[in-house]
Amino acid sequence: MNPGAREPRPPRLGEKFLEWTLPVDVSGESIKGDLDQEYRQLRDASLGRSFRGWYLWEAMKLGVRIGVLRFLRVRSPFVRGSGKRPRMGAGERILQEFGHGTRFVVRSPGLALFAVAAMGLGIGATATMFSTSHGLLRDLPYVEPDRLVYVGWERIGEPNDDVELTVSELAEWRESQSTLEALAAARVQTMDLAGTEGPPERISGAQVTADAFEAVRVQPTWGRSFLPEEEVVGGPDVVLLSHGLWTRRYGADPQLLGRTIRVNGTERTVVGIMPEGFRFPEVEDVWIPLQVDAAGEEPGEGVRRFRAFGRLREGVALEEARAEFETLARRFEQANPEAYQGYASRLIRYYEYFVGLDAIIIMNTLLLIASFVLLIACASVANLFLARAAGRSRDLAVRSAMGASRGRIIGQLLSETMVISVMGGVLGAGIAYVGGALVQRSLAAQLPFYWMDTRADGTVLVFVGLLVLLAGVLAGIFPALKVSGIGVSEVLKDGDRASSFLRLGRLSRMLVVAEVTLSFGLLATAGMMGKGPLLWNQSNPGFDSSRMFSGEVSLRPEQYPGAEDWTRFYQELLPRLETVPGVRAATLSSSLPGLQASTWRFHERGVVYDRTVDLPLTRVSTVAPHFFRTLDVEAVEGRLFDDGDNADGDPVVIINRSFADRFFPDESPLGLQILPRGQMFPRDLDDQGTWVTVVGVVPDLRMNGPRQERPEGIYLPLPQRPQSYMNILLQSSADPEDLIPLVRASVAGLDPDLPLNLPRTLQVSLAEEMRAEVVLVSLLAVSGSIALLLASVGLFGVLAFAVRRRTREIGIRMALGAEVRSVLWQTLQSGLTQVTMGLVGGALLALTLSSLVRDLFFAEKMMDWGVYGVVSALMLGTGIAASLIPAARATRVNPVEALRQD
Amino acid sequence: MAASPLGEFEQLVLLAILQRGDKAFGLEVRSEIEECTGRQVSRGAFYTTLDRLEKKGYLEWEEATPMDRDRTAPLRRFKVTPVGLAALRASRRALQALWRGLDEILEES
Repeated sequence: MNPGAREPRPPRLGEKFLEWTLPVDVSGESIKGDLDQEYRQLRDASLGRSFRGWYLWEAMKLGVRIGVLRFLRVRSPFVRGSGKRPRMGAGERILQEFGHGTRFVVRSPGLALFAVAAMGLGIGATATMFSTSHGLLRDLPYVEPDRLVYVGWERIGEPNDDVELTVSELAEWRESQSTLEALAAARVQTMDLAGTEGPPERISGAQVTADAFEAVRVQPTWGRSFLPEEEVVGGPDVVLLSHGLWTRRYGADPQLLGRTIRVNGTERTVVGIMPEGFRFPEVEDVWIPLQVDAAGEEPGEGVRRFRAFGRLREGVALEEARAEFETLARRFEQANPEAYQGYASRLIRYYEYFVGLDAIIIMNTLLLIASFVLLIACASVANLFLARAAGRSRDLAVRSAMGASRGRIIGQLLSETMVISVMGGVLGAGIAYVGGALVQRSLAAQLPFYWMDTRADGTVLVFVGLLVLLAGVLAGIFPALKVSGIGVSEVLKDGDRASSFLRLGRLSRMLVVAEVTLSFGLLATAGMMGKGPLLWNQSNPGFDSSRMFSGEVSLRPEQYPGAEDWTRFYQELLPRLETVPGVRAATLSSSLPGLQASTWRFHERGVVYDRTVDLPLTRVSTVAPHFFRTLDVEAVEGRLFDDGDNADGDPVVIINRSFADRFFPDESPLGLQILPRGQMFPRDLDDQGTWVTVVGVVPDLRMNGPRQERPEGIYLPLPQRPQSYMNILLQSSADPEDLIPLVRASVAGLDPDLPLNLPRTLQVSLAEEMRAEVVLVSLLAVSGSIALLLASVGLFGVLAFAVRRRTREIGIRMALGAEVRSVLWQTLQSGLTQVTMGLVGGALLALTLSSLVRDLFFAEKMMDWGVYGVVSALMLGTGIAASLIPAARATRVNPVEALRQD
Repeated sequence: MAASPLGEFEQLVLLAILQRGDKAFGLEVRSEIEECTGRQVSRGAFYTTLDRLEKKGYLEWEEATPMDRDRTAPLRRFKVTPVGLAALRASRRALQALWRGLDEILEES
């Protein structure tokens, strides 16, 4: 022992804890003094050991016991002075009940821990889902959002299809309508920002009418909104910026107002900055006035890109506005029946337009699934309490014989589950907080609307409070009613066998079956959905993506109107990229290798098709000549593209191996011809286009992305099929991340205003592809695992209860010579029967769920034996583990004691 | 009846206090019970029982001077009150009545 520390102090934390919990008077101080004295004696008696842990542990136990009882002023309801019972107020009584509940937690910490964990997970899962759903479905962040409506068309019979307006329709309706304060419109488009303030970048912006911001009742923080005279073709070039963009790109420069910035190659004067947090109509950050002219456009023709919306006039009902616009729509139909037949005007609340009924349904379904998890949690806790109550039925009967009313006993049992539920609620709120934040983080980039925020807030907390109440009652009321209904005399007479007439066996078992069913359904669905992304992340795409850089460039029609401009730009870009230090090889492609390429239809030479839908489908990628060399891919047959495959050369195509196997199974494809139609839904069967000749076959480079269907694909040479949008692909000799500024510089060398979008490693691009799926799969997998955990808790409860109930029977059988193994097996068997029943139900549930979320699968199959097998094995394993402890307990029954037990 | 019947542990606590006489301090009473019954006594249960017995009027305490020089905290010396003694006697009478005539069966071998 260190002689300098003659007077070792007990651990501070322990002392503090005692200070909080013990009474502040002589008795409290003396109790702590006793513990301190023991601590000193123990230390002095054994040199070198610190006993700090001992002190801490003892202080905790002591503090909890005394503190909890002291604060709640517990008095036993069952043992009291005869007749002289003081009347208690309701508040005191509730406190007292909670005192009992808490005492139970202190007395059976193991059971309590299980129950709190189950409850917490259930509440947490439900609250996280609620938080997500509440965050995604929240109100639009505008003044009186209920009065905002969206105006457009719908095809009759397809009520979920939004058809937007043409310029002439917009102009006509703006003039003639009267039920809205004004009919405003917005058209979302990409905006390329350029200038000395930073590298050029592409962001989402919108053209808006001058009255758009007035309709949503938001005005700029600085400067002004657009003026009506700015809304005409050839009007002034002005721009409004979001607060976020102003801060990020322009360093919140107050001098920016009135200066010009370059947007899409045009100098525009900044006239205002919108308030912080505001984006519009979805996640846009830049606004320019909508300057279009309806003149010269035939009714019913023109691009339908104008999203019209407005605010209902004070006192006007939605129905009135609907009627008015239907009248206006019929005018169009009368004037031009052909163009407008089958269309009706569509006027819905702006919220419904944004969020969509589908989203509401999906979110509520997920919430429902999560509530099932909570139900399971309640069932598990109820099971645990039933098992425990069965062992206590005699004790309870004695109490009720001593005069405790049925209400009191129910109250006491309920108070126990309430305490569990409250503690579970604290845990659940924590889970929801973390869960909501995780969902927010993983979805942030993909949330369609800026106001969506899935992080837990006050509403979620209130929801958790309601869940706590509900769960506490749900879990407690059933065991309480069962147990308190026991006839007093029967139990006292009947001893241990009393529990048999609780008749809860079947119900408990059904609960377990339901739990297994649900967890199997969730896990199998998650497995089916997750298998694609999981395998995909690990599968070999046919090339090495580790040293690859990717980025995209999109030429604006204003600066690059025609195919020759595109060709010239990319022809100049490629050699520049090749000379960037650290670049081994450079190429361009219309789709990134490893991600889904677009799908076109094509004609085979000599085949006659009856309908356009009979044309076969193929994936298509347009690539610069060195594409395959950059990826280090060799031709299987024939040759790769070379510099001769230019606009003057013969039209050629390279096909992948799947394409060759599927369409030319019995012959060499070299020299054969196909006609790619350039789209997935060609209008006719016209085959007078450019036929291309197969010159080579390459291995599959996963042109189907994560999907399993349609791996067949073809490659066309860029010089023969010019495109304005291309991906840059570089093979790097070092970290591809280091290339970003260099590549930016070489693009800027050609066009200083042209942004390089999404510069990153190819691996990141590939991983991003699966992001949303991974989030959804994780949500399902987590819910499923929680359900599984709860199911095993429930199974454990039922079996423990059954074993306890049959102690006597088991004892007799063991006394008569039954083998340990057979007793063990019997208990296991009864557990596994329930698991198996659950598995069957679960498979059915999984099939149903699968068909609901089928579109999210990357496999065609609805049922995957591999996934079902793995999940079944997991559930059986868990089932065995949950059954083993009670089973082992059964085998340890001492026959003599079992018989004596009475 | 003036008092409710004593629980088993309450009896043990009161008896241990009497056994220790004027050395009936918290730690001593607790170890007396542990030595005589051979079972661990949880501190929480012990102190809450002391508190309950005091509230019922079965025991009282006074501050004593600690023998341990290092102890700065107050030390309580417990004493059984006449009401406590009466309750103990009542318990003993009940037990004795129940034990009557059972010596042969319950004699320890």
